[in-house]
Amino acid sequence: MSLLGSLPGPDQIVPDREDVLRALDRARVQAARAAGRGMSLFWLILGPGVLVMLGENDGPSMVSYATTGATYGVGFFAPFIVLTFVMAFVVQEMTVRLGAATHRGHSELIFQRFGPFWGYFALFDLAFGNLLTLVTEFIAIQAGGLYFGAPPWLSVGLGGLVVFASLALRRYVTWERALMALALGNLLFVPAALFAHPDGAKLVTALATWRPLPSPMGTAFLTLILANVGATVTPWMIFFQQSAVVDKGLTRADLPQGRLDTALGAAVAAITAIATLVVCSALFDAHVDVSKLNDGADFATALQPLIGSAGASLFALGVIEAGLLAAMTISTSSSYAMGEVFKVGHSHNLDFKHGKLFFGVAVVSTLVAGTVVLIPGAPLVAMTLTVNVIATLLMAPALLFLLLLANDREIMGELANGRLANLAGGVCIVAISLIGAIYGVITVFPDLLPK
Amino acid sequence: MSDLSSLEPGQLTSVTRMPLARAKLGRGVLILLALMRLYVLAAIPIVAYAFIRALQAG
Repeated sequence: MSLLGSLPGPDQIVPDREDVLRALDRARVQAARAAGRGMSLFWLILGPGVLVMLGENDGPSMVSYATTGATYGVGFFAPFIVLTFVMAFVVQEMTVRLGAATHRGHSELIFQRFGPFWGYFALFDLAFGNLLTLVTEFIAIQAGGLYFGAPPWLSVGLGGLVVFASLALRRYVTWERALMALALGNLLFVPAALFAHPDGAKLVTALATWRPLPSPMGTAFLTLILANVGATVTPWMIFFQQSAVVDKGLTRADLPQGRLDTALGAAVAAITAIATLVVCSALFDAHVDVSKLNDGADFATALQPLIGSAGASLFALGVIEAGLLAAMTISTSSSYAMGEVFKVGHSHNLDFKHGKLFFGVAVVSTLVAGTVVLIPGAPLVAMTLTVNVIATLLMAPALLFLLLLANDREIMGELANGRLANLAGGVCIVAISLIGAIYGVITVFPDLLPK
Repeated sequence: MSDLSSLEPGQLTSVTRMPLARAKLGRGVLILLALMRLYVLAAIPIVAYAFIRALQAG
């Protein structure tokens, strides 16, 4: 059964820039596949998974991992971070299948299959949450800049300019490769960790045994558990990766490489997250008071006497990169969603004339977020807290729609979730939703649990 | 005309701009969505409360 009306005939198709550029990219993929060049094929398809996973290693997430390492050291949380990225892979793999099967973004599928109420809800929930999250990314950029003595207007201004420059590329594949090059900066946390002279045997033991267990296991422990999950799986990731898969033009034939891309992104993101945990475990070993460390600059400054200037500088640079990459991916996820719901062009392959809304949303949200950070006395802490509450409380609806769509055989055909995918996806969704709800509740009612 | 043969028919923008039909939802899904509306109604004041509380905390 066709879910569409009559399709346009070949003579009715007027190719636009988006179609033409995507066709060029697809021709390269098909040539690599036909020639049996496996590595070349993987390189061509690599992108959305790496960007979404490293994009989620954003400013606030790196601070969460840093706080975890400084509070409990290396132990339980090292394998726990691996587990959260396994969950992230299970969730994000569904978006790859959805994008490849339907060639439509997540928000338009929700809008069209479940109606305007849920469509607009998903859109405005995403856009509002993304705008607040963008503010936190510019806070990270500002904090990293402060470590190097840069005034806030300079680091925030330069950050905004880099975001605008990426939008000016007007070619999906160029935009993606530029962001992937920037994403390599996330690996700066690995050499920073080496400056802390980590005990390799201790790390391996922790990964294998989940020990030593944190002590005491009070509210702080629970909050860090929840913050680490929140640092790995968030609603914008679902929307972004599906839209990026569509913009890149992936098809069913590309699914093996698309899954590998997502798995590679998860693995690299887990490595850098654990590296952050390791470098900040130096603060735990030195009994530094974590309660006074609020942002990337605080952590870099506290780390300097322990790991040296070079290590601390790498850490601060990593925080800047984390904020910058996330600012690009998160603003783009808002642009995709707006274009999808309002049925106007939504692609990095568009020119400015046909992509006014697409580029406009990213530009305006970046300008607003950057400006808010620079307003003296702006309630940045309140905003950061609210971002966490929104992201965690509203993860449940996002995951429910993901599961419903992945089971929608009318649009997914044979790519719909099987029993195993539903079991794995269902377990992840129930766990993440419960954790998110608990996080939301204890954030609002912090006195519910004993300290 | 540009060569679009490397694209699947469903990838053409002229096709992707055509809306899909609404899903036919079973009773179970409708109940889930109704519960989700209640959840969202409960979540919105919690978000507002969290923001006001954080503002007051400075």
